[in-house]
Amino acid sequence: MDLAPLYDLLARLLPFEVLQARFMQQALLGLLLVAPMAAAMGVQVINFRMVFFADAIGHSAFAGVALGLIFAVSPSWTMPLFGLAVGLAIMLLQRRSSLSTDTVIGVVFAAVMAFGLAMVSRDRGVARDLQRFLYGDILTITEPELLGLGLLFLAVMAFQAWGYNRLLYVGLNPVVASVHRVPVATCQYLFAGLLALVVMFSVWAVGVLLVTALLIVPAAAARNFARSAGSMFWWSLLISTTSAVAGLLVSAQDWARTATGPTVVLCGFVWFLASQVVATLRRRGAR
Amino acid sequence: MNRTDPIIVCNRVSIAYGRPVVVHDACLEIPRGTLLPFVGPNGAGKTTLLRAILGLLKPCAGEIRTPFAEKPAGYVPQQKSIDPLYPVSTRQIVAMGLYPELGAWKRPNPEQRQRLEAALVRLDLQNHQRKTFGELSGGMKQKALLARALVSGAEVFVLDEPTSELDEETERDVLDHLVALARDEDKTVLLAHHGLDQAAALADRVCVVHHGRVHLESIPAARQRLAGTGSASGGRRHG
Repeated sequence: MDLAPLYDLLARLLPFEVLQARFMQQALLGLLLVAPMAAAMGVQVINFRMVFFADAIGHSAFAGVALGLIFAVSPSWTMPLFGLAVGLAIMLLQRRSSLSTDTVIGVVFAAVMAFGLAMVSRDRGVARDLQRFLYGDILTITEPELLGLGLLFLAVMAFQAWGYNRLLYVGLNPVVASVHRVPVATCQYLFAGLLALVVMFSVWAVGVLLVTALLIVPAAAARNFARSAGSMFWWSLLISTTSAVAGLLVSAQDWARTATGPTVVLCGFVWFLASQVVATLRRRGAR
Repeated sequence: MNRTDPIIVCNRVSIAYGRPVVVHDACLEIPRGTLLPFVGPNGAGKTTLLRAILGLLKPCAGEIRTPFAEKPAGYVPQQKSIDPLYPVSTRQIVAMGLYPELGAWKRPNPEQRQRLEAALVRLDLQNHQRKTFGELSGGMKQKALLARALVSGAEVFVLDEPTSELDEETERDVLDHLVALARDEDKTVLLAHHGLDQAAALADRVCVVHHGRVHLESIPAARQRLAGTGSASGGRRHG
C-alpha cells in the first residue's frame, strides 16, 4: 500500500520546514494514529481506575521484546501479542480471584518484569536492542508498522463507537449494567485486550517509561475541562492530538533537539496545567 | 404469564456464597402490583435474596421465576455504589435506563427521548440534569437512580435500601413515588428496608428475612419475629 499521497497531504496541511523530510512525515502519521487511540482509551482508563493496569502492560513490553529477540521473531509481533496475553490474564485473574484488583495487577506486574529481566540477562546484545523500547523512537517507525497502527486505529474507533456507552455504564456500576443486559464480561475483556494493544503500540512512540503518561495525561486534563463524559472524550482527543503534533514539531527545532516521546508528554502536561487553572477558577466561581 | 399469576415465584430457593448458605429454602409468591418491603437485620440476606431474584446470583437449590427475560427489572442500587467523581451528567445516568431496548449504537428514538424527559420531570430533576452525579444532594442522587429505573419502563422495580442515607422529608418523597408506582400503575416494587416502622407505612405485609429464613407475613407477626433486633422498630440509619 502506497502511503506517499498521505504524507504529501500531511506536509501540505502542516507546511512546516521540519515536516518536509519523509521520516518526519511518517512519524507525524504514526503520532496521529497513536495519540487519538491512547486518548480514547485513556478516558476509560481514568474512569475505570485502571492506570496501574496500563502501567503493568507497558512494562511487560520488555519481556515481549526480549522473547522476540531471543527466539529470532520480530519484536513487532511478540511485543503486542505478549502484552495482549498479559492484559487478558490480568482481567481473568481479577474476575476469578478474591484478591483486590491492584494486588492482582501488582503480582502480574512483578512477574512479567522479572521474566523480562531474566530473559534480557541471558544475552547482553538484547539489552542494547531494548533501548529503543525504553525511550521510544517514533522517528524510526516503518511503513509496515504504520499499516499495523492503522488497522489497530480502525479497530479501536469501531470498538469505541460500539462500546463507549456500554463501557460508561459498566464503569458507573457493573451490577446495574448487567441487570440491563450490557455484556459486562465481553466489554471488560475487549477493553482490556485493545488497551493492551494500544499500550504496546504506544511504546514505539514514547517508550516504556512514558507510555502511561500518553494514556492518562490528556484524559486527566480533559476531565478538568469537561462537564460530561462525552465532552471528556472529545477534549481528550483534542489535547492528545495537539500535544502529539506540537511535541513532534518542538522536538525537531534546533533550540530544543529533544527526544520526541518525552516532548509530546511535556506538551500534554502543559495542557494539564492549563486545565487545573480552569478547574480551580470554575470551583471558585461555583462557591 | 397471565396477569393474575404471581409475577415472581421463588420455589424452595437456597442461596450460598461458597459453603455458608445465606438463604435457606425460601418460598415466595409475589403478585403483580405489590409493594413488598424486605426487612430484617443487617446481614440477614435481604440483598442476597433480591440479587438472586434479579438473576445476579444463581441459587444453589430451587428455582426463581421472573419476567426479566422479556423486560429487565428497574434496579436501584445503593447510591454509595456510584463513584461521585464519575463524569456523567444526571441526564446521562437517567438515559442509561433506556439501554436494554436501544440498538447497537445506543441512540434513543423520539419516543424514548420523550420518556426520558417525562422521567426527569416526574422526579423533579429537569433543573439538575446537566449536573454531574457528584454535584447532586443525597436525595437528588436517589431520585436520579429511581428515574433511571422508571425510564426503562420496567414492570418490576428492585431497590436496595433506597432511603438509608436520606433525611425524613426526602425519604417520604421517594417512598411516595414508590407507593404511587404500585398503586396507580400496577408495578411491582421490592425494596430492601432496614426498619419495620417505615415498612409498615408502605404495606400491610412484609417479607421478613431473618437467620437466612424467609417469611411473608403481617406487620404484627413481623414485629414479633424481629423483636430484639434493630429492625423491629424504626431502625433508621443516617449515612
